Amino acid sequence: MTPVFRIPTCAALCILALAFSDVDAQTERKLNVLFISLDDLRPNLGAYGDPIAKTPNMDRIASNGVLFNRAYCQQAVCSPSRTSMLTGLRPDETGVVDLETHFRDKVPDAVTLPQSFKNNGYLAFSTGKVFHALAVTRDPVSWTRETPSFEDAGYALAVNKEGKGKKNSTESADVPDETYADGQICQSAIAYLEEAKSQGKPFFIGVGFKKPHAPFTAPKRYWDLYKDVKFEVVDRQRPENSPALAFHNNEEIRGYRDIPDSGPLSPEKERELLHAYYACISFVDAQIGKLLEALDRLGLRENTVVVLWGDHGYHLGEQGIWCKSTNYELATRVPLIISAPHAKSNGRKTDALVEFVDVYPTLLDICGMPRNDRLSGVSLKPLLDNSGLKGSKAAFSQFVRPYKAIRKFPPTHMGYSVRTKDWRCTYWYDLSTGKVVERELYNLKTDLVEKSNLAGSSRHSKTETELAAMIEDYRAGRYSKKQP
Amino acid sequence: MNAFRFLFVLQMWLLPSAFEASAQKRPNIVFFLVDDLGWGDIAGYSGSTYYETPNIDRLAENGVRFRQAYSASTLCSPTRASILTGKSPGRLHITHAIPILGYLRIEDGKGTPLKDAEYRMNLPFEEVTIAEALKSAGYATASIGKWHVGYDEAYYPQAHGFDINVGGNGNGATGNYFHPYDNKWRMSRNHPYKEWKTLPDGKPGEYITDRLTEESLRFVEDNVAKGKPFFLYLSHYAVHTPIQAPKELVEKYKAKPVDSLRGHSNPGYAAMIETVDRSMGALIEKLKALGVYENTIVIFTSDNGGMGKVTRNHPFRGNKGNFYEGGIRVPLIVNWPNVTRTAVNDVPVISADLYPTMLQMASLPLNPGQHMDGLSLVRLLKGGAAPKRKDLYWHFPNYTGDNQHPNPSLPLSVIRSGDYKLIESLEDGSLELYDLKADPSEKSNLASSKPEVAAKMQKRLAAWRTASQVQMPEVNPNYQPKK
Repeated sequence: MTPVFRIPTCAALCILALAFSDVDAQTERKLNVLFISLDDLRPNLGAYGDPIAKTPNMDRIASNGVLFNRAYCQQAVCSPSRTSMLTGLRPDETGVVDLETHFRDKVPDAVTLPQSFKNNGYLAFSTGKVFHALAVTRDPVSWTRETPSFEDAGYALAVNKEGKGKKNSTESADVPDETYADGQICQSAIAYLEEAKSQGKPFFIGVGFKKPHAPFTAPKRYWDLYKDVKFEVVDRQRPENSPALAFHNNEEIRGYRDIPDSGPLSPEKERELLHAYYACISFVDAQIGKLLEALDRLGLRENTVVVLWGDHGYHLGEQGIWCKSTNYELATRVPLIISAPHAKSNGRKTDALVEFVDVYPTLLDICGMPRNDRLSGVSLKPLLDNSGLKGSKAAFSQFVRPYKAIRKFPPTHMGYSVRTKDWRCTYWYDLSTGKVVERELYNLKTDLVEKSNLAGSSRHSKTETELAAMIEDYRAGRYSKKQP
Repeated sequence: MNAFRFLFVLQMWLLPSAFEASAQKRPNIVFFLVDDLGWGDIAGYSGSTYYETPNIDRLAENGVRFRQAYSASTLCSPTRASILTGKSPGRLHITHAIPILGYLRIEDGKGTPLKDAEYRMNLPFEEVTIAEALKSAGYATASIGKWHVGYDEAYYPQAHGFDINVGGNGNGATGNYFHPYDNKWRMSRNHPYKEWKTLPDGKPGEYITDRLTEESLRFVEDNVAKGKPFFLYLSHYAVHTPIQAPKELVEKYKAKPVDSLRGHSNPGYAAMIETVDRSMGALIEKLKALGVYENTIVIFTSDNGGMGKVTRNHPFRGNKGNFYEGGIRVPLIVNWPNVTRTAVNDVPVISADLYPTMLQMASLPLNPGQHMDGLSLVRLLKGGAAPKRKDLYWHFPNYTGDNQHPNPSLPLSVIRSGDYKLIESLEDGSLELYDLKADPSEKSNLASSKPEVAAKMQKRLAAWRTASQVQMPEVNPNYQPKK
């Protein structure tokens, strides 16, 4: 956290910066931003090397942009992660570590990413789930306009539409894309693109697709893309010597009718969930294809920055976990692709460590907007022109315990996790005493799935000590980033 | 003048031979009545992507599909009485569903400003029903399925011109649609239970719609064998609640995408609709197999709109239990081989019209003293003019009175004139006026913006009430408005 964060005159500084900003830049056409998010998407994309995924459209964004191969969210669950992305602040700064708290409770005068574009003369439109979609977590002031959240279009089949109680975790229906929310979100996004085009104003359009979040519902033709794939859960063991506190009981997936309230899922059900997850990814990919087509049709492609991100990672049965809400690599590592017109490294990948809080300053930088010194991240623009640059030394994430998915539960513990080039170290703090109660250290040099907890081993004590100090600094708000 | 004379001569020349021909071979008539089936429940009407009604849709393609057909009431018994007599429920004083135990639905409680007007619970013997009229012309007649226009056994179908009664009694539903079809029911906690059995014979696992279909096919076969014209009043208990249907059909609809636009999503209900459609399919197949299809008229309709808890009557407002279009607009299909031209028809017609229509179809003389509120649709069916009529009327001096139906009706009268529909509250005289052409969903009440239209219609409505000697609700002396 930079000291500037606490200076109350920063708003005045922003206005000054605006007043003296480069006149030449202003006379040029402003760049638009198409800000596309997927819910619960881990980097299972062709562009990320996934051998199964059929994602030609998202891959196309990658081939015209820079793919961040080591990007991390700040907390692996929707609202905290999205809040960090959209405010440019870390969870401890926003106060959002659950699904119901609004960041304006703690930082009432925060200027969000879309809001800063809106304040600079952009049309800022939102459709689908950009901010977490609960009524209490939306932020209307951030947008020129936002659409309702398409809550009714989660399912298509009567078995799930009718009656009360739990619904199925998956659904395959032979229906048009628009029967489901993501098809409708795509339509409304295209309408926003057309509206912005006809108004002739620069735009920031947030398009929040709802899949591949559970329930895994998608038109049948996207399931059919994978009908010959043999899906199997891999790496299902918890890491050796890992603390129980690091896990949860899969409460989210157990919220569905076809998943048992306790105990393991059947192998058939696991295969179905994997199949369904991929079907949902391809379903959204097809919607993104329509968006890209609309950009081309409207002649906007050359002047629009496309950002593609998934709000956090996901466990597909690996390490004994379904869904997100851990501090492990699978839950914290996210897809992030930034396609800025004419960036020199477009089409390349970078292994630089980056964080979601970096996206906000990056977009301000790319679009020639005034800097915002309150932000906790750094601009990644240099990486867009030179993907070989070194990134930050570390990326941070955190998560609370206990965590019971939907229900709010007063947390007793917070796990802070630091990722460096080869290591992940997670320390779990008792929130009442401030003491560390569990320690995890994993070597991820050759394997991106944590297998064996090395914390406390004398062989790695130097590494652990260094990482523990970084965590302590982060936790105490003493961490500040350097530009790549 | 010349043209008129020519028509007159032509008629004189045509009529006797027509009578002769029909006397030799009167057409069979199948009156296929489905309980609580909404306008939108037939795919061919609403375009529903959820409900499947291929046999009924085919019937419509071969016959005439009325798009502005109305039931005489928003509830079962009044509409059924109107079909059977050609009179409006108001005139008959059968304005509410006949209660299972013979109780009025609302007693003199404190809750309503008016007292429910008393309504008859038995269709009077003086009425010459369509079954009686046809029977006396030599028809074999059968009522198969729901009756519900007589509480007392003395008023069951045999008392009203039917040779045969299968499964008809004073109840609106059997309560259980699988064998054994027994059930019990009580009005409220303060009332005793009534237990009953409908169709006590039968096989385990038998489903009521299939049973009624089988009985109907047998009746048709018997009379074709005898060479006797028949009138089959097939009155399905489906698709009235309880929502029960064969499991494999329900499973089929569970796995089907719902129609979100139209609000069609209940798998059990969709399955019941399909059982009815299959019944129609079996019947048509049988008529063809017996070689009598060409000489059989099939009339398909419902007694009121779809029930709001299980279906939606998109694009209309309302449902069974109230008098918005969704509560009274019903499917009506007339299949009269070699006579009608395949067509849709947008003339507003009502249940009572079917009585004189059937008389004329059977080449029997009209009996206007009986079917006082109905006009024959025969000329219309043959591609000619609509019956000359200025208005359609409804009268409901009661409270729908239970919480089975969303937006249950309060006492009111309704008049439709041209595209306008006026609803007059009998509680306080307040008016709702809708232009059904511009606003079929009845969203904008024009009563205050078109007061002259409303006033004229209100006047005609009052005159009709007087002329029809409808019963009116009295003020409830015990009424205590909620504070």
